[in-house]
Amino acid sequence: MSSTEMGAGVEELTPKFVGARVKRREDQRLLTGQGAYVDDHHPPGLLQAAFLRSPYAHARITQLDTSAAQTHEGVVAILISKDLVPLVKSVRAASKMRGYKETSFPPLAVDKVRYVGEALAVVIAENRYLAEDALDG
Amino acid sequence: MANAPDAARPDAPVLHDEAGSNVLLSREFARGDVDAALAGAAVRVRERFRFQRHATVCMENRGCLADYRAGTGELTLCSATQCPGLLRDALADLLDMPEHCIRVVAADVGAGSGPSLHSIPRRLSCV
Repeated sequence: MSSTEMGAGVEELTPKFVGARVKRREDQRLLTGQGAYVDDHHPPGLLQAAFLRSPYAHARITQLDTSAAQTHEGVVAILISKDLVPLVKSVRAASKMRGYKETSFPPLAVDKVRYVGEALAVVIAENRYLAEDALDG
Repeated sequence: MANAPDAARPDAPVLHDEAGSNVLLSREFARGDVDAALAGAAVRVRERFRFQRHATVCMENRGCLADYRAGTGELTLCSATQCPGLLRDALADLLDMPEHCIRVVAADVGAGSGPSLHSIPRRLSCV
C-alpha cells in the first residue's frame, strides 16, 4: 500500500534494519556458556525417552512386540500407538485453501508408517543410554 | 517412490487413505492477460521450474521436557520452539486440556529457522 492510499497523517513504513549495522547484544551470555537450552534442564526424577523409528518409507505394521524391551534395566514404560490413541488426538495438517485435503499425523504410527524415521514406539527410561539400549531389543 | 511427480501419478500407492490421493492441493495462478502478454513478447522462453523440498536443520534439535502434575492437572512443557503460544493452544486442543493448565516455556532456543514452529507429533509423545 502506498502512502497516498493510507491517507493523510499516516507515515510510510521504512525498514530500519535493512543495510544497517545491528549490534549483537546476546552474544556475551551465550558464548560464555550462560545459555539454558532444553538439554540443560535436569529436574529431580527426570526420565528420558528414545524413539523406535521406521527403517521403511511405506509399510504396514503387522506386529509390535515390546516384551523383551520391557525387561531391560532402567525401563519405566514403553508406549505404542494404542496406548496414546485414547489420550491424545492426532495432529491435523489443516489449511483454509479451497480444495485442500487434510491429513492426520498421529504421535506414534498407527497401522502403517509413511516415511523413514517415523516413530513407532517410545521407550521411557531412567536415562537416555538405557532407553537406547532397550530400543535395540 | 522418491519424487513428487511419481507420487502424483494416478496409479501411485496412496499414503493417506483418507485423502484418496497423494495430491493434497493443486493451485493455478494467473494475473492479467497472459495470452496477450506472451503473444506480444519479444522473446519467449519455455522451461519447467522445479522447487526442492525446503528443509532447514537447527543446531538444537527438537528436544522437550514435560512436567505433568497429576494432583493439580498442570502441564509445563519446556521446548525448543519458536512460538510457545501456538504450541500451548495446540496442546490444549490435542490433549483436551484447559489452556490455563498448560504452560509452554521456550527459553534459549538453538535456532528457529521456520521448522521450529511446527507442533510436531513427537512433542506430543513426550507429553
